[in-house]
Amino acid sequence: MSSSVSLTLSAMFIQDDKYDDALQPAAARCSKFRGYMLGKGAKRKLDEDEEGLEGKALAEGPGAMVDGLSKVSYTLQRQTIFNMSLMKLYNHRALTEPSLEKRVLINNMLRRIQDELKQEGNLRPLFFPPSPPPDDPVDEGFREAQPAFSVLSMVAPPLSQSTALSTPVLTSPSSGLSNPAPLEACLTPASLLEEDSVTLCTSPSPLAPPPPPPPTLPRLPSPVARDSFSSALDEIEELCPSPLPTATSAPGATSHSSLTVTLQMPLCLPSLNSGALDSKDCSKPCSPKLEGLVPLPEESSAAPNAPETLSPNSLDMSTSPSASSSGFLTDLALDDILFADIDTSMYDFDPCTSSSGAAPSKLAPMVTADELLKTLSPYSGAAPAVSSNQPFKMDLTELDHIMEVLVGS
Amino acid sequence: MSVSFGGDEGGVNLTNVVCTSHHTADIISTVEFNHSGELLATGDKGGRVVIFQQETENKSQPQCRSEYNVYSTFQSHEPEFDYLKSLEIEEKINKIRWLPQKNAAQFLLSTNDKTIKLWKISERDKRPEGYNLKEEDGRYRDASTITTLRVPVFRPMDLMVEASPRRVFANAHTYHINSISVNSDNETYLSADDLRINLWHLEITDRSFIQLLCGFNSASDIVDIKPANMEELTEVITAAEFHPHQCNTFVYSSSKGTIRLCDMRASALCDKHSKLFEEPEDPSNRSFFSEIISSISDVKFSHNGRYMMTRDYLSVKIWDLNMENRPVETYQVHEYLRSKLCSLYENDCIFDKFECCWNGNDSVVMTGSYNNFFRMLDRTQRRDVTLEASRESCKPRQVLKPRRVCAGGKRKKDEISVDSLDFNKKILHTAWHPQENIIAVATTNNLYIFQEKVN
Repeated sequence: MSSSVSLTLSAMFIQDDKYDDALQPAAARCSKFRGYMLGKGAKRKLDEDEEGLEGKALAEGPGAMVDGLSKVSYTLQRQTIFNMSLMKLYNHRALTEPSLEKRVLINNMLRRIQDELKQEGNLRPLFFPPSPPPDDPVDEGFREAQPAFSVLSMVAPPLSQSTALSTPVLTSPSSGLSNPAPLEACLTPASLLEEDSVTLCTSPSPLAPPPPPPPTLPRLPSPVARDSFSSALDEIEELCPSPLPTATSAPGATSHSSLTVTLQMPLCLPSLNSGALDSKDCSKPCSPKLEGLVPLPEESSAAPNAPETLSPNSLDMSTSPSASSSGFLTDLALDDILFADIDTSMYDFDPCTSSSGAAPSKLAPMVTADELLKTLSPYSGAAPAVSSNQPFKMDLTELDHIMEVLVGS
Repeated sequence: MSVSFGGDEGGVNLTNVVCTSHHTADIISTVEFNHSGELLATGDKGGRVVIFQQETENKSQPQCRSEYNVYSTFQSHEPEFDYLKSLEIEEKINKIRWLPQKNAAQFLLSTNDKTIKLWKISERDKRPEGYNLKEEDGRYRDASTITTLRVPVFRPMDLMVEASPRRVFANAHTYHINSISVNSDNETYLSADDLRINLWHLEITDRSFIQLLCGFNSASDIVDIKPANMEELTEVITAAEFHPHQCNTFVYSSSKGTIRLCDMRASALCDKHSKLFEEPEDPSNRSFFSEIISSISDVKFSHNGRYMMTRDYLSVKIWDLNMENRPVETYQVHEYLRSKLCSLYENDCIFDKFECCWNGNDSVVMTGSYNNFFRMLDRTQRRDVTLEASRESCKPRQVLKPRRVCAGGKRKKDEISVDSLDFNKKILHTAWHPQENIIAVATTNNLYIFQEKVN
């Protein structure tokens, strides 16, 4: 139900609070520290961790099994780098074409981190200590994050299984929205809640038992939750005009429509969902955080090369590994929404009424509705800003619909 | 010629360093001596080229003090607009390469992201006087007033240096040009962007001679501009250079720390390299940023053609062309930055492209760093020194003081701590005179020319 959805979300936002210091908009931090290592003597808290982290990470090696504390530091650093990389790729506002080498390197970084996350998601049960009760909210937040991670960022080896599970939802895009089955599948599986007594925001709502995990992996939290989420995204994708990637002469001037569409859904999430979230303390931090727009590629050339061949169906993570990069972007979208701590104080989210051409100068990582429209139009080959309002409005209607489904109203 | 090392602390003792510095209006983006060292060209972010000429106090004494003064200034490239992508094309000069001098005029190639131009720089210090049919100011004389004939003669005039574009090589690069290199045959040159290398004939501009399909994409069609599958792009070309003596050989480096040596005799399509130079990663140094810091920002052959030098973010490596599996020498430029990579990633400094250069007899190499520091690494004596290019170092009779960076722990006197380094002051471009002990070091807006004077 709605509380379970908020369960998952709130888990991430508790983690997010912990990272408040570290995860200020990279743009703000960059400008503050540009040119100087640590702001002329004022040490940031995270920086010490970073140094320690790097030392630890170097000592242990990125993939090694480490004790709890190093693992936490390592994961913290990895997450920071992940967010930074996303900001770098999607925040580019240069008048000239950004460097292809830089984009490729950042893209590689993101892929590597994502691969690590996937592996860890698969191995998570082996790593996690048997759930001691949470000592303080910080720990709780962190442990909660872990299952959330694995739920969301899993690319299962059991691809066939998850494909099979998600297929029924996929095949009926129009009618699937009212199908309650994906709703329950969105819920954090009970098995997950049971094995970690770290109850995710302690919502005791009865959850449908997940489908049995595939035999190849022990106690794998259901990939169904992930797939139904992505399948919901697929439905949105199908509703929105998502032209096929066109061959253009520029490396970055690609269609990232799917990416745009993916991100649209979460955009509407807060405004429609804030009332529905009934998970207590989580609702407040949830909605403002989600209100923040996920940075979109504003110029076509700012998009990484990875999404170029994204197609609607490839948003589903359970498709072949060769599409992992496109699935990777779905993950990006979700992780980015949920983990990025974006300053939304200046931003009043209302895509329909935001003034066109609203100066984004204060919202450096933000994307206005206009930019959304701009990013939409190149794919259909139409001139920018021509008849781009309509697809957007249509999206909102459909998104409303989907939100109802997810929220379970 | 070598930098003399000595002194109590083992530092460099450059006596009587002569320094001239020139302030430029725009950020310097490239520095290059010509083949004789008499001319020094700089390109800047505004598309201008400024050429300095060496003037020696007393030409008969070779080791005398010399100065570099402005010889010519011209606008090489203008900003353009790519209407297809709605993006500006920067006029910033990425590289300048001189052609060997064949006659009185000098020729150089300058390039921005998209277009390469061949410039002729010629002097005029005489002009004809005494025409029969024209007055000195150019007005025609009335033929009926001419009673005698005379032969026009050349008379000296104030030196005028003219730069004129002779060739424009355009529309051949989809991506940003990062390197140009003149072949030893003096007829062809290569230009490299992120994914392709083009071979040009200096006389032919409407098409590149051969488009060498080097690179990391899977496109098989040489005419195809865009790689087949951009989604799988994980590696790009970062630099390329012709061998100084073998006109069929060139190398190109990649963002993954590899260098490929290609022989054009083997195949016109140099997608199969002759040699692949790569050092296995040191597992103890592995981090999130391993790939980024392994990206090679510059590759330079030694003058004798037996070695090549590569610069990645933290180190300089010397490779023997006959040994592919590891470099013969590795020098740390600023190892103290290794623990700061995350912050450097955040402020984008980790993507800075440092260049490197050899001295005339390949015994010393030089490269830049942050805080206006530059490093000289003596290969024969296995010594190195860090120097600073600043106003203070340019005072008359000022001996360049070696600098030290304190990586951690207790900071000694005269040391600078890593946290105090100014990462906005970076020296990306350096050049060494091909014969003499003269170096050119470019800070953001200033060009410093240091000369070691041997009395």
